[in-house]
Amino acid sequence: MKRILNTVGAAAMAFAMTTGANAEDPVKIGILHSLSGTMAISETSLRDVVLMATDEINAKGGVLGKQIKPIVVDPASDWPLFAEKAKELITKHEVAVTFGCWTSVSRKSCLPVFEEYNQLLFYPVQYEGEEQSLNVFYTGASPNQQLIPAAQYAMDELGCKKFYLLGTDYVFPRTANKVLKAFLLSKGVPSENIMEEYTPFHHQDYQTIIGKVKKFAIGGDACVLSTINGDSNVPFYKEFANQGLTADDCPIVAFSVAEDELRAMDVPPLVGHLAAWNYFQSIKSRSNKTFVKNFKKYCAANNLPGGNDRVTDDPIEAAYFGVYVWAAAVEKCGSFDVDKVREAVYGLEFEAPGGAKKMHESNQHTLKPVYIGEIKKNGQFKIVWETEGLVVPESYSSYLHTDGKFPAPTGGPKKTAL
Amino acid sequence: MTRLRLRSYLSAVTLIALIWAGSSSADDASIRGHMHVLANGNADARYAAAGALVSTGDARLESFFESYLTDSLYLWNDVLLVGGDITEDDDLNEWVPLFDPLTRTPYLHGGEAALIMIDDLEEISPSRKERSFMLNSKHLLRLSSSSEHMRLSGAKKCGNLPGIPEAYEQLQLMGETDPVEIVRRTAQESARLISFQASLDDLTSEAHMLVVQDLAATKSIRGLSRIEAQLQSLPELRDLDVETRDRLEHLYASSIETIKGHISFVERCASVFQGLSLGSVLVLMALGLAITFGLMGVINMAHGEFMMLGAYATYEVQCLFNWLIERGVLSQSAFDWYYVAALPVAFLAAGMIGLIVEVSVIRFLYRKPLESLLATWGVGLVLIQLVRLRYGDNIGVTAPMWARGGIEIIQDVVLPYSRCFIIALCAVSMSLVYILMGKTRIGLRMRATMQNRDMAKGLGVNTQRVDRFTFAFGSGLAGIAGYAWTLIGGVTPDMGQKNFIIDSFLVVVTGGVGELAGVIFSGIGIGILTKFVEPLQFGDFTMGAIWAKVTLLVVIAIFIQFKPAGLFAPKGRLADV
Repeated sequence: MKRILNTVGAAAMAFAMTTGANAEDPVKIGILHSLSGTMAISETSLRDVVLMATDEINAKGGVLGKQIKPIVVDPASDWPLFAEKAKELITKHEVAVTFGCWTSVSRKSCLPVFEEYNQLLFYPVQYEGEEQSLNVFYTGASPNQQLIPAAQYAMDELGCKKFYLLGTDYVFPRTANKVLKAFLLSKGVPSENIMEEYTPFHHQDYQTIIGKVKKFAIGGDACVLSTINGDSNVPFYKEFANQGLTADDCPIVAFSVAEDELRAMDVPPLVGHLAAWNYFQSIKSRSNKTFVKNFKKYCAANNLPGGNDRVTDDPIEAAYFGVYVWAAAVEKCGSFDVDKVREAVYGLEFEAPGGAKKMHESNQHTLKPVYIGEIKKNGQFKIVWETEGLVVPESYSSYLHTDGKFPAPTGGPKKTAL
Repeated sequence: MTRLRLRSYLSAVTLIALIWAGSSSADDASIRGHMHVLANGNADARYAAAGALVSTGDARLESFFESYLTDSLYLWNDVLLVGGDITEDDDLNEWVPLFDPLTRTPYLHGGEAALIMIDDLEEISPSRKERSFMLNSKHLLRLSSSSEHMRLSGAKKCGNLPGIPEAYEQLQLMGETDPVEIVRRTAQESARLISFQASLDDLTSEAHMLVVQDLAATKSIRGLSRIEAQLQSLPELRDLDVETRDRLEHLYASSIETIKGHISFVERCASVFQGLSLGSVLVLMALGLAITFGLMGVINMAHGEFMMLGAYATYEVQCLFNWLIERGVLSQSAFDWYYVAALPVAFLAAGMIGLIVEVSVIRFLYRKPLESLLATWGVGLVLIQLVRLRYGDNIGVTAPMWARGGIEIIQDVVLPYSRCFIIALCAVSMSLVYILMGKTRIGLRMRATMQNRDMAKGLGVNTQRVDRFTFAFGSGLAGIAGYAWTLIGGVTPDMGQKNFIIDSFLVVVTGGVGELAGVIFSGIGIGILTKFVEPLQFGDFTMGAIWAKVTLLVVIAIFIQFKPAGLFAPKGRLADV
């Protein structure tokens, strides 16, 4: 009797599994963003927007007729935990794709896991480049889509001759400043006109540095190119304004301050400073307006902190369209298989909230426009400059690899042993 | 190429300046006429209209240009208006109040102040060509502004390269007659920089020598790089005779020395002030901990969270004031008072929570240091998560107007008002704590209980009540530190763990556990030491914030080796308790 029951049970299970693979069972996706710790300040918004995108797709019937079921894990701003949680998503939850990470160190931490299992990660934040894994799609900016245009703008339009490269002490600012320095030197800026300085994470006392900036900018022809990350920005800008410096004396061009970060700042003293991104909430188009409204409504409806006061910004847009890119690629190739999806993503053209964009044919990055925005008193950016058309991404900077030899991409499908 | 561009740029500015210099004030009607062209005309007509506007020299136009540059000009029913702060309704439509561009009074529509949906307005923004033109004219107009900040920034910009030589006369006049000292000095310096640039055509002239001497006498930091450039290019100038060259070389070198001397003096003063202000922040942070940990012996890992609560209490008071202003109970001008009102609120809020924590957790853990360490750590985590759930991660505290900007104490040394306020707040709280501990009855009981709980109990002191009060008081002080922090730093739920807790313990331990005086000396000492180490340079290597911190920790580690009990170690029988 017991044996019969067992057989029936096994048969039922087998039946359930086959039907699950065929139709009604949802497809799982992983969301790997810190919801606690240092980076929660930025990454929570990305989780929210990815959930919103899956809701939207599900409402329209899902992907390949399947509903998407998001699995949210919290790596808690703890870099090694990113690798563990990625493994958990892949092996335990068997997700089809993962959306996640903010800091470069977290991406570097979980990258080996995605490569080992040949799984896909959509990474939505601008970063320092010098990486190209077949297991990652980079929907944020590569250096030539953010850093270089901004430095060019500072030279041409702001008339800057001296550059203060100020950053938080970790991999993104250090590599970014390497690229920036190589670029500035190649444009004939003498090396004594370039200052480079780093502060630890959470640095709070910027008195000495502002003193130096003041001395550096006394001639009125200097700017700060800031890669300061996270909560240090608040004391930095406050001290800058309190010591009597304004955007007229020395503009700050920031690479890590967007609308979301401005919510935590006292904006009036920042008016006139700049930021370089591939998207601003202030982009005037119908699709963007709808996106902004939907995001605010989503946050309010789900009782998320901030509610209607929430804003969108570059990484939020990149995280959002990442989900759509994946869904479109799946529809295109008619499969959830990683290798097929990867091929389908290459060269994919799509409509993002900020306008039409395109995935690169081979290097895993995204073709995007570049905008320079000036901070307005309502915490939004006025777009003062934009590129004509989309900028082609470079995973390895041509300013660092002057010989034209770029490393081969890592990861990808496992070579079958012969 | 660059020179050519510079020429054409200068000539454009000259044009403005010439019209501007010979102008008299125009009547409002013609100004409005020109403004209207800006909104409607073609590119050339707009350019001409902008020039005509500058030529009126009307200081009110400076803010008009500012609005033009920041995109807050709108055309509505063919009337040009300035937009105020944009508000959003529940449907996420944006509404903007409109003002007259010249008088800045609300624009009336049907007897009411106009509040228009932004989609119904045409935004007027300058073209790229007009932008740089506007920026330059802005600086000239600023010279006649009524605000000293505007005059100062205008005076500075006119002298900076490439400079606006046509502003020379005006600058000289300002250098003598402007009511504000720093504006006078900057205008004078800029005028000298302009004549320095002009005198470069003839280095042998008496005028050149004089202006270099003048620049040195003004201690012009802005002039330094220009004189240095002259000194460097001197050997390349072949047509100078030896005698003149020597004279120039001597003159340049001595001027550079004077200015550099001034700079190093300024830097030393700045280090002292910065150290003092960093020190006072540290003292304020550690003051509460000196009581809860130093006197009571509770290893209070939640100390940072009490500071965080103080900061959030400040934010709440700000929200309350905004709410009252929206409902018309308070006028907009009363907003700055929120910061005054927030002081007692921050103290009481943090104190109340401290009291609750004492009653529910701490009182079971006296004389159990390890358990209290873990328990308070847990309390801290709970508080962080509660605050995160309530507020999310991003909130902004607006500094009151009076705490913005700074005061120039010595030429080129600016001490921000916010930091002055913190130094003062630190001094006041320190003295109050001293008076409370040393001169009052409750202070006496507190000290008795902390020194020997059983003896105090035996002598009739209600030690439980004293413990409760002391812990709440220490927590309240932490709340005040968080309140002060909102002026200079950011507010996040985990600010306590990230920014404060380590530094606070460092100060208390270095100062000597149980001694309030130790907190002052070690706090200020650590502050000044950091600020002296940070700018140090060895060849190409600068210490910077990272190595300053490392150095500081090494110094303290060595210090603790030799004086394990800190600067002010308890002596005699107290040492054993």
